[in-house]
Amino acid sequence: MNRWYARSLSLLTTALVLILLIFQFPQGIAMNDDISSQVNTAFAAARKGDYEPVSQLGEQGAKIIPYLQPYLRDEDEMVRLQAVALLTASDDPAAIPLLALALSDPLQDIRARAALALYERHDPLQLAERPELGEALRASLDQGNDAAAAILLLSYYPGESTSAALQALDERAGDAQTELAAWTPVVPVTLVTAISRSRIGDQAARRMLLQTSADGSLAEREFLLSVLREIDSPEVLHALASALDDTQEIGGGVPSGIQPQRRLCDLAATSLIKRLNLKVNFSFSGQHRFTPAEIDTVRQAMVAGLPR
Amino acid sequence: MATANRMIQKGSTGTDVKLLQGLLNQKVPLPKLPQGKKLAEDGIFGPKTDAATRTFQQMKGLKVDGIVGPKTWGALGVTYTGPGAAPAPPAGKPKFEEKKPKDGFDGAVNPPWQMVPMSGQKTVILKNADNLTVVSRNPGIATVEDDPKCFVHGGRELIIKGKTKGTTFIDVKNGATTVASLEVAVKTKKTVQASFHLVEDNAGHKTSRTTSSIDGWVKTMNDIFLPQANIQVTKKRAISVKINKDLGAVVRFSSHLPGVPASEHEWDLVIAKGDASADFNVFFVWEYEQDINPNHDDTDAGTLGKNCIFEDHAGTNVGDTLAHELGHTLGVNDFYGATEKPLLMYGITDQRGQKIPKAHANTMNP
Repeated sequence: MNRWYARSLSLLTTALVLILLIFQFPQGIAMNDDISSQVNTAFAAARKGDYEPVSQLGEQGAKIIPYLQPYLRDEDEMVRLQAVALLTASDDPAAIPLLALALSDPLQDIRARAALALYERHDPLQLAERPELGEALRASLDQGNDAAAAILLLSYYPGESTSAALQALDERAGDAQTELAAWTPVVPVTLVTAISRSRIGDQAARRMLLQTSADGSLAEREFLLSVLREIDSPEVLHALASALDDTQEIGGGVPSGIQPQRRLCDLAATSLIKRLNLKVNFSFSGQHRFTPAEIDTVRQAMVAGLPR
Repeated sequence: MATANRMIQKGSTGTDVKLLQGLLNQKVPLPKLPQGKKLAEDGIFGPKTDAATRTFQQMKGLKVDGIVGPKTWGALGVTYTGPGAAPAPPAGKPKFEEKKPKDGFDGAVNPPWQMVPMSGQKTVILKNADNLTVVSRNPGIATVEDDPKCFVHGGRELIIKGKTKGTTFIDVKNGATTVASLEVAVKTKKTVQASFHLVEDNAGHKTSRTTSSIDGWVKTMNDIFLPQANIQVTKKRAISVKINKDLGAVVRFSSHLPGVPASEHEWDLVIAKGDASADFNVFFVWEYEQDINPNHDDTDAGTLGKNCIFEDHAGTNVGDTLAHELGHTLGVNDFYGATEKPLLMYGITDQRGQKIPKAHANTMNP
């Protein structure tokens, strides 16, 4: 009886697997074909200047990502741009290898978009576990990509080749400027390379950051406060705390036209609290204008919580 | 300044030889003169004058041949006007001017500035420089050539071609002296993917705008940004979006205003409908305000990051105002100074222009 039961169970299991293969697998294929067809149709429209279908594809989420690869190598730059734009809207890890591919696009605009998407949408510590991405970033810099996001991400791949790539960029940068996102401050490329070089232990770069924290332009100090994640030196973080006293308006936080605008000290307070997990006894939002008492609380929390 | 109208060498005689001997006595250290003695200023170009001339030429890095021609006369501080002399500079100081308005030229800065797209070209006018030489300091970034088919009254037309991204200068030279410069910024093309959203709420409030006008506004934006900053705007999508809430007569940004209930802050609800893959999301609403008195219609639009809420009453020049708002997304704040009135980023709508100066172009597309 037991043998019969076991044999029956085995047959039943086999039958179930067959049923699944017969009914589910073809269904899966049909679904994939459907996505593939939608993607192809959307990009055919994009080739004619109609980007609406591609925009609709974005509403389907991560499942379209595997189908975008051929379009990243399309001859039509607007097609490649649409494919990258879809990848930039996703935080799914499946997008990472495709964004790495886009880092070598002939157009700087596309290379910069790919770098920014990697920087903003993905955890850099997880990205650091992909050495091939480090290679792609170094190659992208060598190709002329001076986007801030690419430079900053490269510091997660320390080593001689990274140091060499950053040094080479430094040497050819001259007075070239760069930015993170379109609306963020424009700063010298050499400041961004200094952040990366400091993060991988370059003392000269660290001294440059200390100097810029103390007497850099408003844009430079705003930029440093915007990328505090990449600054690991307590000395630099303490030096940047001087921005807590700076009441120059920088915009951001509230829409254009609103007066008064956000000040550098507001950005400094928000950024330092978040970066250092400072314990403060008040709540705040992205639009908050800090009172002198609140600023003082932040300053004291820094002194107490971050070694010099 | 003394002048000389011929080349002289060993065997020459005359007052210009006498001039030469006097200058050599001043400019060549005594120990280096023949026998450590000053030359006789007798107007005869003999062996001692020849030796002193060669010493001087060696000191100045000139060709050492004993012939006093344009370069040696020049090094002695004498203007050479004889055969082979550089043409006299024209009257007036050389000056760069724009070929056409809103084409990426900024004459208000020193030196003047011209944006040139990479792999593209721009034309500028150079006045008072008919016989002067024009060169690029770095032809790897930008080259310069005269447009042979064009000559404007009192000036030349120069074609500047962008080769690689970077900054260089076009120098106007009179001999070895630079008499004017033009800064040239070669920029790669930056694209802006713009999505447009026609907003309505669940209580019947909706924008009166339609999708039919959007292509025209995008064209206006491109007419402004492409020639001046090499930024191309593309319409990504234009759709209707519905907010499942009664937003009332005025859509508000109010989270920065003390005492205003959180429910009044509708900005976040609206922009949540944005296109995540767009660079610039425009939300057309019926009425928008961002100050303490929502009943006073004093705001046309507000932009924060890549999102812009734009009301129906935002004047008739919608394309210009959209371009202004895009300027905010590209990192430039409002300007209010008197000299800034023709600028695109001037803060007051009815006094705004379309001009993008150097500083703004470099922020929008570094």
